[in-house]
Amino acid sequence: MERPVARRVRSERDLEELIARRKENFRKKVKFALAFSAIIVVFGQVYSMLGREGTLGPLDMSVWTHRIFVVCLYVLAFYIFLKIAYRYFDRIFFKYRTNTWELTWRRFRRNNAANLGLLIIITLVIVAVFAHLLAPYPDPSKTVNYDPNYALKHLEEPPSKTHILGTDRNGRDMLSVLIYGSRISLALGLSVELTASLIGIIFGSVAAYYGGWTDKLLNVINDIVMAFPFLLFVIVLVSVFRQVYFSIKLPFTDIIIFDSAKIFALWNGLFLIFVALALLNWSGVYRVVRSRILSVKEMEFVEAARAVGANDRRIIFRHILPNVLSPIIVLVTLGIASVILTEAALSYLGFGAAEGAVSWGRAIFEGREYATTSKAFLVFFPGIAIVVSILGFNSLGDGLRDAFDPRMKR
Amino acid sequence: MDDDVLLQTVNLTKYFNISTGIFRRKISHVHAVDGVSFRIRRGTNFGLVGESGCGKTTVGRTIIRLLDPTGGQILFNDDGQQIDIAALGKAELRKMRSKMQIVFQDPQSSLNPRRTIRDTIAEPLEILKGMRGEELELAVLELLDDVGLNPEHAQRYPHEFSGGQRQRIGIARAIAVNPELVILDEPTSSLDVSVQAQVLNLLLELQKEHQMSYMFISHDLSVIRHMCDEVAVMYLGEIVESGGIRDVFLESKHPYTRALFSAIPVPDPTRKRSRIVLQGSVPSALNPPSGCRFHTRCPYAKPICSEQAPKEYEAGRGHWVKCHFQDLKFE
Amino acid sequence: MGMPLLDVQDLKTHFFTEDGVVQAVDGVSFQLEPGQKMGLVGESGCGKSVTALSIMRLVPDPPGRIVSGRILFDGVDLVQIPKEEMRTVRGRRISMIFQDPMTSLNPVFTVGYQIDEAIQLHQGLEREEARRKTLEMLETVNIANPDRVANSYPHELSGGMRQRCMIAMALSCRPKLLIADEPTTSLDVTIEAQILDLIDDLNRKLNTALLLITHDMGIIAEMCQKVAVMYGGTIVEMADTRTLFKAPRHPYTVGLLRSIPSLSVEKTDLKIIPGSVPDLINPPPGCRFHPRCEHCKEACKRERPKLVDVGGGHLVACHL
Repeated sequence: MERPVARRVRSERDLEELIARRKENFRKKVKFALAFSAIIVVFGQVYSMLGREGTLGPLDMSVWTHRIFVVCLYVLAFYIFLKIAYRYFDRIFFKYRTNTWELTWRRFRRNNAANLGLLIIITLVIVAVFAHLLAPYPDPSKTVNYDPNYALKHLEEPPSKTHILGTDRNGRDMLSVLIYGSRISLALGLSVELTASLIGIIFGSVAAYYGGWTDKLLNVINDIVMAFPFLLFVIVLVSVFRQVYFSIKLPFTDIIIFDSAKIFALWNGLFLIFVALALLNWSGVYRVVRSRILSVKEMEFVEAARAVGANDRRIIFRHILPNVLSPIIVLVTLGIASVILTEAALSYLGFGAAEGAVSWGRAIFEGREYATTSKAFLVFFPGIAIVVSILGFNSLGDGLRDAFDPRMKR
Repeated sequence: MDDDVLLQTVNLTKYFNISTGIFRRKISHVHAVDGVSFRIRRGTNFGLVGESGCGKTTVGRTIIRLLDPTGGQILFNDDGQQIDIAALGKAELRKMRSKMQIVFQDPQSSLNPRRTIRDTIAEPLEILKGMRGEELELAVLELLDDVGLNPEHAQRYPHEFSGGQRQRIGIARAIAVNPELVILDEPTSSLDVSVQAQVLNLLLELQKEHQMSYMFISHDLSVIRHMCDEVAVMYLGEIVESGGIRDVFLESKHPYTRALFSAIPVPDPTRKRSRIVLQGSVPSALNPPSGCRFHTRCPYAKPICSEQAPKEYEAGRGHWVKCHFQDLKFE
Repeated sequence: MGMPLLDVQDLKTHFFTEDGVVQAVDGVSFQLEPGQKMGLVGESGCGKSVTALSIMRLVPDPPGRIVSGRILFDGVDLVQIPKEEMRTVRGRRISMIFQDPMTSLNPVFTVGYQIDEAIQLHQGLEREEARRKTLEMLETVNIANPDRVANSYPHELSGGMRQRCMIAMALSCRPKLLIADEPTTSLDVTIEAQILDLIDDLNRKLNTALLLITHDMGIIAEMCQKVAVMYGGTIVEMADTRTLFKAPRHPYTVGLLRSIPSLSVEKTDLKIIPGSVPDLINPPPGCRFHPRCEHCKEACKRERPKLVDVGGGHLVACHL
């Protein structure tokens, strides 16, 4: 590969050819990305047109079979797409430029657990996004969809032909509850993690970059947050908002800017959980970001960048941050899993989702008395949903961590 | 300042503070570089040798203002105008950066692993020369060609190259803006002998093409001998001997220089060496020995050496030695 | 002379990785007499460290394995003996010192404790006895206050001191063979001189055979009586030191010697060896050096040359 120092043998034309080829590669990648998005959108639209909003009542079997068909088609298309994508992903992204990411990708592919996790999560996302198409019964959280008579007649039914997973305490179909519940779990997980990570990244970068007093102060804050009794805090918070009503008015006006009842009811009671989780969960990201930046800051290529005249902003964004991102991705993934679990736990204790909310944790809460009886399915099915999704996220997170940071298993 | 002098340092000093306690009180400092003066002439190569901890790397970094000097001047001859780099503000410093560049020791850590080498080499051109677009791409590809790498590999990442190739990338980055002075901090220490030879040859070629001066910082005396015209020997933050290559290498007058040279294993089994083996190890730079810093290990030390710091004397034309005794008889 | 102390016969050590089989050591043979000093020289990737590890059976398994060959030490084939027996050999009859003493000494124990441990393990002595021997050893390696050093942690000592402690640990059980893997690469020149002198001294006093592994030809010239040049996993030339430096026969050795900048040559171009070291997963067929050799012929591309005696024990593996 190495040759002795050569004279300038390349003509202007050769070099221009090289530039043209690189532009070509870039265009290829853009086309791929567009095609991918287009497929998703088209799929969604087509089936959205074909699907019909069913009504409650003895289910129209033709609609039901149609739903099953849709699901199977999705799963099939999904698997085929994944296979093709894996193959072409390599060729398109890595043929003309090999990447630090290629090694990572290859390691990830080999990890079976991680691939399974990825599969689970993608399925989860599809289920959440297309819930209105996949669920046999309409959105359980919208009371307008419910015919109370039907509901009262079908309380807590075990799995049957019309309700594959049975019904819950309110007469709602369990399968629909699970499907729509995934929306809450996913949405909450993502929003909490993203917010917490943002806090962690900002605080971590500031602490690492400026050092000194700022660093010490932020470290102290972080220690306090880590030591904070999370459960106690949530319980107190929720109880207060539940029982005490207060509002804050702008002085001299009648405009209410803070109304505790509204806050409590926001997101069916989950807004408070979101706030509590986001505020208390950023320690992991903070510590990792801070330590990575501290170590990257001393690396020679940062000094080299300074030697060629880069200013602080350029160094932070182009040199330090890209090296910091990989452990954060891992943490975020694992964090989502823990958020789902925490939400379930809180709902089980009664401090999570409010009455009427559709969430897995809430479902377990409502069925908790029957856990050891013949109606255990009320608890069992939501539990499985939780376990499977947490497993998925954890496997993905572990797989990512191993891919980014391979340890010699020898 | 003479017209043919490119860079001159006058009493360059760099101390690092040691501080403890909650309030970070300064309790002492490390005398990394203590009053170093030398000059580099245009078109010649200057070598700075010494063992680890003698401060040569610090000198290199300070000259280029990656570290701020504690004292002294760094005078750069910018087209006849003498500029003190030590006194420049940030904006003027940016302008001077295109005149002096540095190649680092470890090619693995001096290249950002997450950026392509095209990005790495383009960076100085973007920042210091303001190049964009096609012009920039062409310049990058030409630079790769200059250092003997295949321009088709511009989109690759550092980890895909071997150590010697990475060092070439570092060199390409340094010469991108056509500097007048390039500081090379142990450029070949981490390389194999055969690769080292390739890189050294490349450096000589590039020098002829681009008309640069090199400042070589190394502990490898044979590399310095091969590449440099003038050399300075450092010990514990001070220059103990400096001058032309022939003078310092063949007629070294300072006991440390002598010991250093005699300690290098020479690939010639027939030479029976009379090795001067120094006692003890390098004292700490926190508390350097009094008087002549070398007196604790010098086989020729006398009482005056621990009391008084020696002055430099001129042993030959341009050959300066810092010792109390002139013309020591070396046994 | 009688039987050589160490007789390596056609040693092959391969690493079985996901990317393929790395033929790190592919047919290495040499002999070492008791008390003799031998150098194994080559650039990075040539297999010299792996050879040393193979002799000590310290090759990480998986992925590495000694696939064939014999290593006869005092008549016993080290490849065949069971692990427990090898453990009595290691440290007691063959010792090894490594390149970076900071990583080969345990940072959480004092140096004295570690040397004590080695002595206790191999000689079965009580702690006080072992401590006395430790202090004795530290004095032998020219450490001024052995007591203080023995109670220090590795990070409290300088590089030269640490290397001396390693040497003390290695020689504490009076082994017959000392393998030194780049012992001075991380040290300053003046300290290196001290350490090399020390090793030389001890070799004479204790009559320990020395296998010195390095990439520095200068050290070889100074220290060793016999030297083997490795390239691409095999020995390409082996001779006594004077002969090798005066009249090298293998093109790689010639190229290597010519590319070293010496202290007495003016600023001219160094003769370089074009190309780079071979990939040990897919080594070039025939002679491993042929893609870079300026005298390459057809035969070189097909057949791997064997070591041939060209006179007076000077062995060269080349078709020319």
